[in-house]
Amino acid sequence: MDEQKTGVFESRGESMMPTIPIKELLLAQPPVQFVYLEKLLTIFSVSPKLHSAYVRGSIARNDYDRVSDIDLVLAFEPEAFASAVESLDTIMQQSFSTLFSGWLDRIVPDFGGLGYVYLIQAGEKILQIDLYLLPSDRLNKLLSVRGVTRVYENNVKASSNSVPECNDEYIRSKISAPVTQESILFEIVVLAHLLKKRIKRGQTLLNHSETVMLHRAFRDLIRKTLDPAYFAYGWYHFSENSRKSEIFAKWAAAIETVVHKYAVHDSTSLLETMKLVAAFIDETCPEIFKPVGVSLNYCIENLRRGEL
Amino acid sequence: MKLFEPISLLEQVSQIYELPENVVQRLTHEILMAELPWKEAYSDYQSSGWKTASLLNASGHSRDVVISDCKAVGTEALKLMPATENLIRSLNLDIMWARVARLEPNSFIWEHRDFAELKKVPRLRLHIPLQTHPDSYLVLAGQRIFMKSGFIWKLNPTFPHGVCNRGPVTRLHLILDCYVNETLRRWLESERLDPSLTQKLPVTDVNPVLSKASALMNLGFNSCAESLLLKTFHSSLQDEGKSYDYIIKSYQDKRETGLAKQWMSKKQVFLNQGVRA
Repeated sequence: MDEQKTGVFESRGESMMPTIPIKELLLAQPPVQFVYLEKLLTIFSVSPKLHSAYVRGSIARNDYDRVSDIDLVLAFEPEAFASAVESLDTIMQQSFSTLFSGWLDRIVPDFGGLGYVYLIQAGEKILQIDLYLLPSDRLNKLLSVRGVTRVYENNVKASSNSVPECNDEYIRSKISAPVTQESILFEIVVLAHLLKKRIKRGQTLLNHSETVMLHRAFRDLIRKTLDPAYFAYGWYHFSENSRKSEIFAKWAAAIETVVHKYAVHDSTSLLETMKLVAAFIDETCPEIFKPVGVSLNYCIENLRRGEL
Repeated sequence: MKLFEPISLLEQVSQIYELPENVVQRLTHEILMAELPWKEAYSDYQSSGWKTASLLNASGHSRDVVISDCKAVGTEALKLMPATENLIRSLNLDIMWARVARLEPNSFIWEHRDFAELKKVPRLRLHIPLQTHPDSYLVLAGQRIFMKSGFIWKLNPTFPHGVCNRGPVTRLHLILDCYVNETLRRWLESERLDPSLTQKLPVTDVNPVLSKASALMNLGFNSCAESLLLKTFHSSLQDEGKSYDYIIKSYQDKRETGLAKQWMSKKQVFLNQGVRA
């Protein structure tokens, strides 16, 4: 078989083609996640306040595929932690084509800090970057997780004034900050991106879990916009309150249909649901659409092309 | 009814020749298919993401992209694009340099003036937008200007200007640096500027941006802070060189006198204020 193949190449005059070892090929054309991981480390390691950096998730476990995200943990000196979190959006926006501000990750395990999800334009594709920031005096929990790998360590140790209480308070304030229409919309776009991966990989149960989360986030957007006083009530009083206004009744019916129809999403139903989200915003809160509309439309366009 | 923008803006930028849509499409197709040898030059002037390939230049090599006065000859890249070559030759312009320029999404060209290093002879820059988006725009005279495709645009780049691509697609322009000849003079007689393609930049409070930049500098993210401040030029109405002044002042406040001086020199060079780096 091999001889036959060699013969074909030779007959085409390709025997002169140089042989490149796989290792070199991989170095010359690394998977996109590694290209961006290196960029991220280059960007963040300029800060003398960065103590260390770690990869976790599929890259650390070496079971990533072409749609895998990047999970990077950045440990900052405790006194710089809050300032680093506050500057994170700006750093990401100055360095990459981000689709929107970081979405406070409510899915990631608690390692003692704060996680943010970014979707960035990487060539023709969208790449998900999960950044987890934590103060360097609370690395124990992270380091007890199997597979977490250190990828950067600052050799010049800063003289650190530990401020654990302030950081606790700061983290609590971020987690308990009220959600906004914009942050719900970012959550929806992130979930759509995650679902696309589940569909590609055939991960039915994760698909179901994130489908439910997507529908819940859509409900939250409807509630935040049309029934903010009852936002904290979840599905309770949703149907009853929706009867009070025509526009609320219309969108309550729309989401009920989506929930009825889809326990898991496929590409078509996901696209349909995202178009529904866009139509809802268009009709009820176009003012939030202006800053985020480009991202949402871009997301929908990518879903249509199957590239999100 | 006021049809055109004030003369001062028209002097700096205008639409001077209309191109049929099929010509634009054909040129775009050729450039996208040609696998051009893109080169990033003038890196101090940009955020990265602005690359060019020469079609007519002094050496005949596409990767020679730093412009100079010359008798231009065709490059190997031009040979890959017959429709583009036909168009360029048919225009009867006295072309000094022709380039294809790509500006990737989230890329910026900082405020600057061009042609300072060249002979003092009448010349203009012509832009032929091929693939673009309303969020990819030129900034000059306090206006954001969408250089829509379907036209040859004149730009006098000796006035302070900058560019950004805040859209989702890579912007592709054919750029012709031309000595002013009879054809160009004739086109200039009927130049115009569609007001719907221009938009005054708003006056904004820059203090939140200065605070963010200061926080970034405290953490050591100097280049992020610099980008943030340079981009104020692209989004708010401000005096010439103000974006550089913000950087200089920020470094002075941090007692980083060396960095402040570096940016004073850059400002002078970028805006052609008489001192070379």
